[in-house]
This record gives sequence, structure tokens and C-alpha cells, in this order.
Amino acid sequence: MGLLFALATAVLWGSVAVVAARGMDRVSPSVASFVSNLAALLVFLPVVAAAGELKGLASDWRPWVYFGAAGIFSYVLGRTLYYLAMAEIGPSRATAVSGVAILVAPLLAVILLGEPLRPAIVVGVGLVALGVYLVGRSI
Amino acid sequence: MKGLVISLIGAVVWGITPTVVKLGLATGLSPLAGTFISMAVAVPVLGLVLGALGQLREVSKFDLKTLLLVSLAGIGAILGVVCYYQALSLEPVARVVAVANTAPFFTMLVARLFDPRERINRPAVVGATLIFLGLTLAVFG
Repeated sequence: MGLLFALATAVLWGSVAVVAARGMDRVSPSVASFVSNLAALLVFLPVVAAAGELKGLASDWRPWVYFGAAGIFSYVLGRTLYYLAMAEIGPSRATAVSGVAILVAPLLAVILLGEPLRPAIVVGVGLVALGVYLVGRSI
Repeated sequence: MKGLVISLIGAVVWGITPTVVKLGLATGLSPLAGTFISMAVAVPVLGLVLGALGQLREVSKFDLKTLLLVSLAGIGAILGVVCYYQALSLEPVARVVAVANTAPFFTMLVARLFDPRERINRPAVVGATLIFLGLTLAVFG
């Protein structure tokens, strides 16, 4: 089931890139990204409230630290550095180098979470990284 | 060299994110609520950064079509984040990251569907094949 969610992630993220690109011909990617996330947050807020998920959020500070950091890493730092890199070395190279994240994530999970790393997963991750590099360069 | 270093630091920052999310999920919070916190913290910070850089003035350039497309992309992306956090709550990081990072393949596919003139060259076909081989290994290996 978890893998279906991961595949749904890939389909959604892969598809929205095309939709976003069509809307970004007149504005910069960083501002488009901000408006995009703001609109999504405004739509998402009532959904989370209706699901009753807002109730326990004030009682524990730890999720705010972890998920807040994940949001900052992913949406603010990661994306800003990516746009800076694109301006310096061009989109193809920046996209290719950003593929390193696919290799960094499992390594950190092994070191910090003690997750097992089977050889098949290592080879699989390597092949995906190489494939993403080739597809990224061809776009 | 400077651009490569910036790009590498960005990649490392992105690579840290799934582990931090796993630590957040270990507190017992649901992926849905976790996604909300990530967005609720990141969006105002991003707004402040763009405001400080003087880039928020660009918002006036948005017409209705741009706003609709960008908003639609944002809603799709946030659904993707919910699925990503849900997947991380059920599977090891390496497996989730391998599957979720096949997104460029779907970009290529959807771009081709939207625009039949979109060309798919040999490196793209080889890349897509490698993605599926890697995906199969990561999932079933």
C-alpha cells in the first residue's frame, strides 16, 4: 500500500510540473511557487479541519519542529538553492546534480533511523538516479 | 564551480527531508496533519524571503489563467506531499524515495499527452527504461 502512495506521489508531482510550466511563462518560478503553495494551503486548510486533524496540533511541539523543518528544507531552502543553481549553471546541470538527493536520502535513513539497506535497493536507487539524470537532460 | 556547490547543498537539503519527516511521523501525527504543518510553516517563511528580496511585486503580473494553472499545480503538488508522507509512514525511506523520484518520467509522459509535438529522444527513452529497471529492483528486489 505504501508503494502505491509513493507511485501516486510520482504521478502527481510529474503531472503538476507540466501544468505549472504552462502557468509560468510570465512570472518567475519562485513567485509562482509561493502563489501555488499559498493557494494549495488555503484549499487544504478546510480539508484538514473537516478531517478533525487540527485538534491535537497545539498540544505537542515536536511535530511542529520536524514537519516545520521538512517544510523549510523542501519548500524554502531546497527550492531557493535549486533556483540559484539554475541561474549559475543552467537548468540541465542543476536538475542533474539535484538528483544526488535520491542517493543522500537512503544513506541518511540508514545512519539516523537505522533502516536496512539491501543491495537490490542500492542498485535500484542508482538506476533511478541515472534514469532521472538522462530524462532531465533530454527535457 | 559555485553553481555546482549550491546545487549539491540543495540536493543534500532535499535528501535530509524524508528522514526528518520519518522522525515527525514517529511522534504519532498523521501524514495529513504533518503535510499541513510543513505547508503552514514553509509558506509564510517563503513569503517573507520573497518579500525581503522584493520579488513579491511580481504577483501583480498574475492574470486569471496563470493564477488558475499555478493554483491547480499547487493543489496537485500538496496531494503529492500527502501521498509522500503516507508512503513514508508505511515503507523504508530508500524504497519511497526511489519510487517517488520517478516523477520526471511522468512529466515526460504527460507533456507528450498535452503536446503531441513534444519530442522524446533516445536519452529520454534510455532514462525511462533505467527508471523502470531501478523501480522494479527497489520494489521487488
